[in-house]
Amino acid sequence: MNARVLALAVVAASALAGTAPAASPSDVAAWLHVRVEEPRQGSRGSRVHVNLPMTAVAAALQAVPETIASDGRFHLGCHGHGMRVEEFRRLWNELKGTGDAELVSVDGEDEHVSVSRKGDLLQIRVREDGERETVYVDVPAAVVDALFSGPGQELNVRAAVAELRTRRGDVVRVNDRNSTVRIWIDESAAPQGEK
Amino acid sequence: MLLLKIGAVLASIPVALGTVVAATGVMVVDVKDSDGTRIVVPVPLLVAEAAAHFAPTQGAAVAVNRQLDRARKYLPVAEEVLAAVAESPDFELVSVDEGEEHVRVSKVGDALKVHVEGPRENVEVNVPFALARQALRQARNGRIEPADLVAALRHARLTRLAEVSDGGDHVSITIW
Repeated sequence: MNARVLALAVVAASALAGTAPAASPSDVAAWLHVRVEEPRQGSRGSRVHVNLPMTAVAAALQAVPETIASDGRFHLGCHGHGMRVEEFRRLWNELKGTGDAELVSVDGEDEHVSVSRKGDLLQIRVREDGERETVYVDVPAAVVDALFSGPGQELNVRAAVAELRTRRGDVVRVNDRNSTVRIWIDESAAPQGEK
Repeated sequence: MLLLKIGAVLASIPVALGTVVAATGVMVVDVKDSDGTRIVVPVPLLVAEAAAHFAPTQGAAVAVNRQLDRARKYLPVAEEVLAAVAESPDFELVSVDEGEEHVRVSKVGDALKVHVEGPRENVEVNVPFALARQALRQARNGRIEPADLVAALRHARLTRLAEVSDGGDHVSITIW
């Protein structure tokens, strides 16, 4: 799988999660499911399924802020480039006022990337024609709001997770020639929500 | 009359020992060879705990604790995750299928069940949450004591800790 696409999915999933205090009764019903399938790797096609109660996810992701925003910076890419949390916050606040709109659109030779606001979702779409690769990331605006509700360089991941717990449905979908990744939240421990 | 009293006292010793062993638990190691040989070794947990106290594990403990230094900051998180999983209803945590190899990690009752199935061998390990909790707590507090981990097995009665099948060979470790 294209490393960039996978990294995007991981960053998006990470951004959608974080730390949280002790479980409340409503958390028990929420489950995070991750499916990674690579059916076309010769005879050794592989399938990885992970099911986690959101309470466990919230606890596990206490370590995430250190990874994605150490020293108050998001670290995207592998060349030390980063963007300050404050800059992200300001950008987000400006974009919020625009309503439904395509915020970013990049058309490459064989790739189309778009970031748009649709209703209460921030939608990130990547389509690659050559490898028939698609990435769907839906980030609820309320989650982003909550994430940036902290002061200064802080990310309020606790608030973001609290928002995330109320969400049901797909969070990330990545399809490419060799593999599919799907991350979603529902209220079932068993993979009934699989599509 | 005196002989009767002496006899009663002598008879009560194995009964008392048996009661203590039954109350504190027994680890049974059952080995079946493909040639039909079968060895069953029952080890009272009290004896295993005492042996662990005296076992020369210092070198291993130092190595484990050195590794723990790197992971120590994540141990409180691990404890929280473990608690969240333990409090959940039974469910399949992880499932991996790759060719003829299959791995399943499930929460079943008071244990985490790990099942690895390959073309030739099958391995099943049940990690009681009590044991994992004890290990994590000790690790967070500084060091892991094997004897305390053995003692934690008392909370895992009637649990098959491990079962390995390799061709015709079969090994199982059960806590009674």
